[in-house]
Amino acid sequence: MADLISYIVRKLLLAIPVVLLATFIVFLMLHLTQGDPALALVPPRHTIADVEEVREKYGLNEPLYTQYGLFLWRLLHGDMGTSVSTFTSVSGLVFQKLPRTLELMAIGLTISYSIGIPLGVLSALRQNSVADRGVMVFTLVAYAMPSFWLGILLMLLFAVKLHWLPLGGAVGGFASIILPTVTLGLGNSALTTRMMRSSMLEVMRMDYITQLRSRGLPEREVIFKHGLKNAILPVITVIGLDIGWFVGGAVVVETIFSWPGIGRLVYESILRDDFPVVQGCILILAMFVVAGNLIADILYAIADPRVRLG
Amino acid sequence: MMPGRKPIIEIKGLRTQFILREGTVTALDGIDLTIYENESLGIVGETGCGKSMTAFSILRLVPSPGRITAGSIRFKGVELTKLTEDEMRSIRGRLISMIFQDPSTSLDPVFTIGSQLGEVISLHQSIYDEQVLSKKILEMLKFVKIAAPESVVKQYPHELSGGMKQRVMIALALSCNPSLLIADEPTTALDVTIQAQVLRLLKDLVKRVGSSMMLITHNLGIVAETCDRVCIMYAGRIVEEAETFELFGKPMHPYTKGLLTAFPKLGEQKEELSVIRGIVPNLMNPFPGCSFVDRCDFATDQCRRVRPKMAEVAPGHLVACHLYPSGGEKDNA
Amino acid sequence: MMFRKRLNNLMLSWKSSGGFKQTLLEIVSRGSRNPMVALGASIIITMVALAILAPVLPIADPTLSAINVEERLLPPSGRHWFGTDNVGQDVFSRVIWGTRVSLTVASLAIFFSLIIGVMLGLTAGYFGGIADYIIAGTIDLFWTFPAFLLALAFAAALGSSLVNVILAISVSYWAGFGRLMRGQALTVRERQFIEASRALGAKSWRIMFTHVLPNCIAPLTVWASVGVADAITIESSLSFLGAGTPPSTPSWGNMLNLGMQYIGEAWWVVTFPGVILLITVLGFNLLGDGLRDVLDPRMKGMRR
Repeated sequence: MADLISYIVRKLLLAIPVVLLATFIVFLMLHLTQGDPALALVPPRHTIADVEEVREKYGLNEPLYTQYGLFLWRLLHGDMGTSVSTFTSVSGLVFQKLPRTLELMAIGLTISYSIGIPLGVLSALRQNSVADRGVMVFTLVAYAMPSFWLGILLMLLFAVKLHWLPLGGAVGGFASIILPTVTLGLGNSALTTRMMRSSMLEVMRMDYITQLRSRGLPEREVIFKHGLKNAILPVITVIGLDIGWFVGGAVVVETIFSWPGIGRLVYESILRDDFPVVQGCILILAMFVVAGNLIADILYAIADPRVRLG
Repeated sequence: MMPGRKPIIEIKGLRTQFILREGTVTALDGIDLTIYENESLGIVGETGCGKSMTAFSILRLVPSPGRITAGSIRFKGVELTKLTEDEMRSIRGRLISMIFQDPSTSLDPVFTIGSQLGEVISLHQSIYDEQVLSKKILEMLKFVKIAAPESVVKQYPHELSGGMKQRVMIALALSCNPSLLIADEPTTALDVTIQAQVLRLLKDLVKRVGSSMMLITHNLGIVAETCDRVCIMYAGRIVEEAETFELFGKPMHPYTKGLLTAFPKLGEQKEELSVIRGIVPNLMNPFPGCSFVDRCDFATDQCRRVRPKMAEVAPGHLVACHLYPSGGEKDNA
Repeated sequence: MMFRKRLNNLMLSWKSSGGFKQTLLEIVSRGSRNPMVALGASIIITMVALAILAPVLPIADPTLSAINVEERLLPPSGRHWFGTDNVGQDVFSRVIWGTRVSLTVASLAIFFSLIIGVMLGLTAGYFGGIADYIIAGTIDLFWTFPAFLLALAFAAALGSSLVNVILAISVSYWAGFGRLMRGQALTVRERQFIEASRALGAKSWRIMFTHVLPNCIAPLTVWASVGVADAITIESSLSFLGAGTPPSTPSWGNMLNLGMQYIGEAWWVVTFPGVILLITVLGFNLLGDGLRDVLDPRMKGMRR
């Protein structure tokens, strides 16, 4: 138990530089824009006085490291700036939309794993059979398909042509969440299936599997109790990368389906040149990724005792 | 056949082959083998000669695309090749068990020692009561002389040393008092200093449980220490079989002689290590004659054409070589 | 007859020359026997051909001068194979011109990514020490970040232009190459012949290029191929969101963006660009996966 705790602490500490890098990149974004950075922080209709005010407030005349320091300081106080189109606080906007995105990701992940794990195991156990080849083709195509196009296709089919499901928005109750989550889940399931398949194949080749058979264990237990438990470990680590994938996917899927989450917020803000909001969203999404990786690492350590030493 | 002794395993004409796209590899080419009650039989040979495959064939765990294509394996009178998978499963781990070579890859890394032992014991002895099970697990660990069994029970395989892991393997294998224990190179992967300990333990415990042991190895020294009888295998065939002392004292087959001289003995002065010239033949093209013919200094034309049969040249001592046709003994220095 | 003989001789001399040429030959010969590689390569060659030949093909002009509002939103027909879009432009032609955009952006982006990654990775792996510590740390940080998000951040900040998209993707994707090269450099560094080379006074850079790099051709090719697939996906996603290629450029992402508004009336505007996008990405993925199977099945673990 103690080794697990120390592992978790170590991982938490290691996450800090990643978080800092994220903030730094987001901070840099402002200075990568063309022209005067102050202009990015004022609404389209502004006066010279407004610009000066902003320059003072954000210390844009100071050296870069001072500005970064101020930036971090504000962040620690929960201040991510003010939206230049709605004049509301960015953090307010972002945290309001956050739960919607979380919903999508949670359900999407569930769908992805519910498809990916059984398919991967089936594929591995029946290697090179027709079923296996079919699964491989599926993963290849699903992986190559950009998530936004899959979303468009599904929308075209189910919403436009068949009128079974609503076009978008979060108002349709249960029905409206189906298309976006299925889009995300299906797209990600290709990755999950592949990972599960190759992991299972590797595990079933191990000596201890034959050893277990030689002890007289029923094949079902050998496969599911021992084989699966070992094979699923690498798949768990991939949750971290998956969250990264989902974050990118959410931006696009929310846009297509007009889902009121952070992804859609990013899109709209880019359209409206609402720079502070874009910054805030990207930062939150980055935090998602870091958190996701952390959770994956911890889950892995809980499942596989060998990892806690490393 | 040894008079007055009951056989545990009788193998006749066993052929195990791997059917590949490129051809068929014959891993075992007609093996005849008998193991009696309460005896230790050593199986000796180079890598790839079929030693492990014999073990897998007995347990019917030959990995695909391999299959037993001919022959019979009788275990206490029961024909193993004709049993269903379910019936085989009730034999594995209970009546016949096996220890593998590398203990670090033979234990499931994500289950504790206790749970793996418990799994086997409860499976074969139908013990489901927690208390009774725990007691039995601890008993077994003490049986294999593991110190502090209470803490080992909660540990994972990677936390144990090689020697300890192998002891756990022995515990697993002997936990249900099998009639036959197959040990496939049980000490090869261990530190030299631990090897002797584990071997002695193995020999001792097998005797205590009253099992027979089939010890597979390439190390003649281990055979001398541990086995009552020895079989020498070459390219999927058995070439010589005798009691240990007899074999070491009066080796008959040229291969056996080569093996024995290749091993430098303590105190012996040698200029060069003697080798057996040539390499192991390709098992994909079964050869009509003796498989050792290309490496044998005494090969004749007959050796190339006719496969020698096992002949008894002395009581309990069999050789498959044209130098010793049935019924006679030729003396070739 | 002569040609075949000369080709044979050339191949034989390449085969024994070691280094680049030998590896290249191996890749091609073993690769062509693998169905995934063959299929992937055919797709890629077709797309590249279309991209190069676009100006001379007898297809409609994709530029603004061809706007013909009379013909807007026509379904697929004999005249317009893929129909027309909301300003009357032929979708088929725009899709073909789109290959130029996507392939150029993706290949340049991966090219620069590769250079950055290889340089940093080699330096880290070979020299070790503090340089390695810093670079390896940076690689890890960039590696865990989804490239799309990074690219989005950079592209949104820099503004919408072809150059910016290429830049954004290059900066986001290099970590994979960096990891690869660092690993290779680390293993090679241990080897004895490196010590020997150094003892003979060879400069570090020389060693790296003549010994380390040739061994990495195989995995680099695999990663580059899959990288182009990823880059195409990222670029089209960015364009779809309006943060990628400028709106007037005929890129697939842009087309899909525009098409979304008319999804109810004109299904062809969103379908065909997507299909071609899918096929192209699939082609590069097939090539990469197939090459990986051919060259070293052990590499399977490295892929996300």
